[in-house]
Amino acid sequence: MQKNETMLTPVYRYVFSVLDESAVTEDRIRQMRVFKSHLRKSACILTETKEIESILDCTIELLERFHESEEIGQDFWNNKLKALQCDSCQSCYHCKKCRIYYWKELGEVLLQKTNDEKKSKTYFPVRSLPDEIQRHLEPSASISTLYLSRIKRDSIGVFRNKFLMLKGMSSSTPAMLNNIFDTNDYVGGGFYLNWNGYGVAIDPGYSFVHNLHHYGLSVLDVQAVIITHEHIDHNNDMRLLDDLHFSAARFDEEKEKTHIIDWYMDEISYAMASVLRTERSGFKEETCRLHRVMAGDSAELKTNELDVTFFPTKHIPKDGTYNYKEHTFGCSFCCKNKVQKKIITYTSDTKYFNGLLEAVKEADMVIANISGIYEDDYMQIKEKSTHLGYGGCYNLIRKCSEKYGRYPRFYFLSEFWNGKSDIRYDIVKCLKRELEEQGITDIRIIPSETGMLYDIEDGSIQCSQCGQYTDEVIVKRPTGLNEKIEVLCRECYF
Amino acid sequence: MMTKEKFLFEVIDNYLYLASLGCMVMENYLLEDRTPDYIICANNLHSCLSFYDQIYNQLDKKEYSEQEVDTLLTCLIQSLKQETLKSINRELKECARNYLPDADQFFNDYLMHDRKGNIQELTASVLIAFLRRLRESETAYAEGK
Repeated sequence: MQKNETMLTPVYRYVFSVLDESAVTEDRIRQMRVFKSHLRKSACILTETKEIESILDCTIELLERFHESEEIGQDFWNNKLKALQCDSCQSCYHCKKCRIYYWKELGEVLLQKTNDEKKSKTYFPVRSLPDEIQRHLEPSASISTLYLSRIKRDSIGVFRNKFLMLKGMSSSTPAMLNNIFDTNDYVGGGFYLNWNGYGVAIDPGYSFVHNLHHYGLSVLDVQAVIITHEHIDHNNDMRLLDDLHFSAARFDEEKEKTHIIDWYMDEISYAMASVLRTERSGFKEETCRLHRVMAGDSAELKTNELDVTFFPTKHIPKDGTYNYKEHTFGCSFCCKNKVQKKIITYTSDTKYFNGLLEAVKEADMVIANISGIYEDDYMQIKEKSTHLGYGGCYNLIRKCSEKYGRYPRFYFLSEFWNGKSDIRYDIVKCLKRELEEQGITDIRIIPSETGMLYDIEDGSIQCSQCGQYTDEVIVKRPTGLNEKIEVLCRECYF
Repeated sequence: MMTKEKFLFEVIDNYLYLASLGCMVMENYLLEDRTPDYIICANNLHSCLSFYDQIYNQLDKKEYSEQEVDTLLTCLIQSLKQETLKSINRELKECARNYLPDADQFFNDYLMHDRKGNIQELTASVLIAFLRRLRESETAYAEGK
């Protein structure tokens, strides 16, 4: 049934359907009289039939006058219209002027005042949507309703106090690979940290939102977003994330209006978001708070429970110099509760430099973006200038363990550059072997993969097959180019 | 032509849903039992279905045309809906008059029209949002603001 219909609407529609069939004849007038008598018979159940009867009386009278003479009909119509315009209709809830609409339209039909412009005009009391449009507009649940009900499900329990890898083999090449192999299997992404229900999205690159949804999370599980630099593999999905979040707030009348995301962004990403905000094309004030972050800053994400500090990185060289732009950063999360404090450090994209040791030395777990491996890099002839590479990762782990009594025991290597093949398993194996030769045997290094879950509280990892958390995991070698890396507990592996 | 299933759906969708919603809202607002209203709803449903059978008998006897039948059935649904809407509106307004000096204007601004001033359909979310606003006004009145 049409929206905003009134009790009078079906009657109007009936009158016009009768008048549409042919010119005003005595038969038509008789038909209207019969209808009126039928309506009167229904008075036992219909309320306010007097109003409808009065409308029908006027209509029949107009038809009679019109049948008599067009001029007489015209006069009657004009006089009635004037009377209606002085009168305020109290019969329907929605529209006090529906009778005027009806009368005008009736006059236009009878007195042939319709032209193309008038025909296209919609008088809601006497128009109905075509069925083929109607069926699209009145499903029991709209897409936005379905989306809201889906994202509101209580999935956060699984991810509470966990660090979730949402980045595939490479964050920078999935667009090319997906095109080459005509697939959508290659994904980039980012990371998701949850501490006591407070969710942080870190570097939402290609496919981040897709991956977030795939693992049962939604924008409503994100309270803060951190973007360490403006490269597309680190901020590609920031607009999508913001748009979905705004949609969730817009479509939901309830609490989602109060869900606000704090965006901690590097200078360039901040500028991009600010421009969009100024142009009213995103990052609206009612749903986001924008923070411009510089290396050295810190922020309390959740009072007394979750802090983040931002440390400098060396990733984007300044033109023509050996210096680096200063707006890029990595971040360290300090997750606290009454009994313990855990530190998670994300290096982001950076070359290795001694200052990085200070940033990671206190960490319980480090996510290091290794990027592409080249021969000179592996041979440690020439260190990479924009990413850690093999040599950078090796130096980071070795020097940290040599220099400090307390050093990270857990490393996830991420953001490999899979230009030729999936090098992850082999490079981590070589790195581990080389470190063991140096006497560093108490460190676990795992190549990162989408869906890997790290338990922040006890430092265990979820087995990819049985879902149990364990300290002892074995990395399974992927057999194909596009196969995911699995970490298995002993029971599942053997 | 409106089938009995379609008619039943429209009665529930347009009338019973709204009437139940109104009852629940008023039950919560006034903390009083509305069982008599629910009984009226049940009786009306019974009357509607009887009316349907009766009118279709007339159609079979060719006393009524299909168009007439559809029109009368739709009229019936709309009349029930409008009665319900007016009833909810009237009851809420009576309550609000106790502390809102200009209840008519308040209802006109926040219930009948949306933020842009367009006439709005009374749905669950509209009613909830309106009640929230009504409660805020009530609290503000109680606190002497």
